[in-house]
Amino acid sequence: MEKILEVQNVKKTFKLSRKQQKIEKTNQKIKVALNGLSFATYKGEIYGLLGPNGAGKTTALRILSTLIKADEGHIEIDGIDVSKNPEEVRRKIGFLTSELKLEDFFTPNYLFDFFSNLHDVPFDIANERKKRLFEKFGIDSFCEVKVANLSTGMKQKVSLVISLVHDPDIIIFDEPTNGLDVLTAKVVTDFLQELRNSGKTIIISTHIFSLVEKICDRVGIIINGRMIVSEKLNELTKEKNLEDVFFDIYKKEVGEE
Amino acid sequence: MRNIWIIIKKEFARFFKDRRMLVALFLPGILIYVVYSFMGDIINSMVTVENNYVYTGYVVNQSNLFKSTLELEKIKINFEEIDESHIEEHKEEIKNREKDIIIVFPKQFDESLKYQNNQSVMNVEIFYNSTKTESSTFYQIGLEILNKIESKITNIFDINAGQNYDLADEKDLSASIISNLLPMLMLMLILSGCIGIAPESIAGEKERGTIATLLVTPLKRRELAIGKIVSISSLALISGLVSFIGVMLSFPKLIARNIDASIYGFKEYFLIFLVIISLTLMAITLMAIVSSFAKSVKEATNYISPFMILMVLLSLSTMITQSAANNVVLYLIPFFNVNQTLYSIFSFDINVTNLIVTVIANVVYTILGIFMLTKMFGNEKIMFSR
Repeated sequence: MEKILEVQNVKKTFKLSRKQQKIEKTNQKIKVALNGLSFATYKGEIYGLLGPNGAGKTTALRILSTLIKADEGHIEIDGIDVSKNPEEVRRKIGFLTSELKLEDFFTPNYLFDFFSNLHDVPFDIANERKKRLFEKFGIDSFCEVKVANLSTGMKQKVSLVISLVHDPDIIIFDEPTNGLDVLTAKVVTDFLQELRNSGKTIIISTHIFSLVEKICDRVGIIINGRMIVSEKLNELTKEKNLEDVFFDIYKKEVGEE
Repeated sequence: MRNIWIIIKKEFARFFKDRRMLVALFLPGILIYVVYSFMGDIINSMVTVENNYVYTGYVVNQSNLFKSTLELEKIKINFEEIDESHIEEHKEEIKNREKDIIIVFPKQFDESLKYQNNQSVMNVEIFYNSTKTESSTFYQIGLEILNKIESKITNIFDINAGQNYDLADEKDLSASIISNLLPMLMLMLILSGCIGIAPESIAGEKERGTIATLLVTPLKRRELAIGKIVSISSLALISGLVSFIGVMLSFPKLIARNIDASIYGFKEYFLIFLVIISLTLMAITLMAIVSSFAKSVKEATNYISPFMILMVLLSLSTMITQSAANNVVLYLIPFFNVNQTLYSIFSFDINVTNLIVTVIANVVYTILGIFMLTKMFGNEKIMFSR
């Protein structure tokens, strides 16, 4: 299989403000978010990053999407060094996270055109892609409604479609079904599988075991900023289901359940 | 360049689709016109009396000379002649603003004037109420007429009698008024326009999480910074222009005299435009940098406030000095240089070197600011601070 993403020994720390120290109930001025994270993903698979809250999943995805930089380590996406050529990496990836918001004053139609322009997608291709994706997610019916007037599910669908305007090879989704109703969540998970089947690589972070079991080909378990396991799902769950495997590992690493 | 244009178009679309921003853009100009005109009308009505107003009051020992002079001046009066013993009781009516004036002439005032050399100094008493416009206006009229009467009798020499000795023409007078007030006003208007737009465009996007969506596209940080600066500067210029029109339309009313803006030609307007553009770019860049440190629009506005005070203080310089600075080095000081240069343009006293230094200095500050803003857009601590 062709390796499309490789993360090697990535470290990331954050300085904690006094307010953050209070929230996290710690005297430490520095928080280690990632502590030597390493893993790889292969073309045409869905990779699931599994871990408890604060394990470093979102930080890892933000580094992959070039939103923030790693303190140490090396990341290559489709042969491009993320730290050296972030703009080129951004052309290859589609990133969706709840922290990326859409302007309330614009319509899905305007936003699709705007982001297509930024990604330099030719007009005809962008239009054809817009038609297909809007139809797929039922955005047609509200494509001229301002984002401010859309429901959370509608917004999530629009965000998802916007992240795909340039037909990226690698799609990175942070908690893709978070906050969605069951119907929208199903549309999204089905679509992720469809993308995988068309040869795209998808990396998702989640703490929903059933989602990983349903759609992922490979799983990485992150605890305290370290990748404890990164294996094919079927190999990892040969003897036990994913939930049991996860808690065995968690118990071993953290010493509690 | 293409991406910069995409950002500019998006910023324009965003501002023109947001009613709040449209209000922030145009309301100051409209308010200035309404408030200044209203203030001008109120001030005028407070200090002027209608032409056909009939002054009412009392006169003791009527002077025919005074009365006929009033008639000559076409001042309408309805005065009742009273006895000296009743003055005190009628003073209440003046206090209560029911009547305008009480004039007490000495007995046989007109006759006494003919023999004034042989007499002691006479005293004419005028009781009035300074809080009533009509009363204080008639007091001034009375003083003027009595002075005229007195000078006719004892005239030894006149000063500037008969014609206009002020050699300043209307153009100079207009230029003098405009150059004293407009540089400061224009600076404040432009800065107000900037403060209404810059925090929203930078800190607002951070607060709403929409800037992160832009940062994961192939858009370069530099392109984002330039696109933002150019678009919000243009919007601030529009806001400043609307305010400027509001000022120019209401200004004559406010100062109660005609100001002729046509005294300035294409050259002056072009230079003003040039200086204002350099000012707007610099102010927006500074505010954008300050806004980048903020987590919300409110916080950004708070951060900008001390800078605004400093900018306003610097923009007051010509009101204090009443002349443009000669030392070219001073034109490197931002905001101060704009105020000084605008003053020199408005007063037809343009120094080309100072003007060039002002514009170039402001453009250099803008470029340095854009460089800094680019770095800040790439700084995760600044862009994603919580």
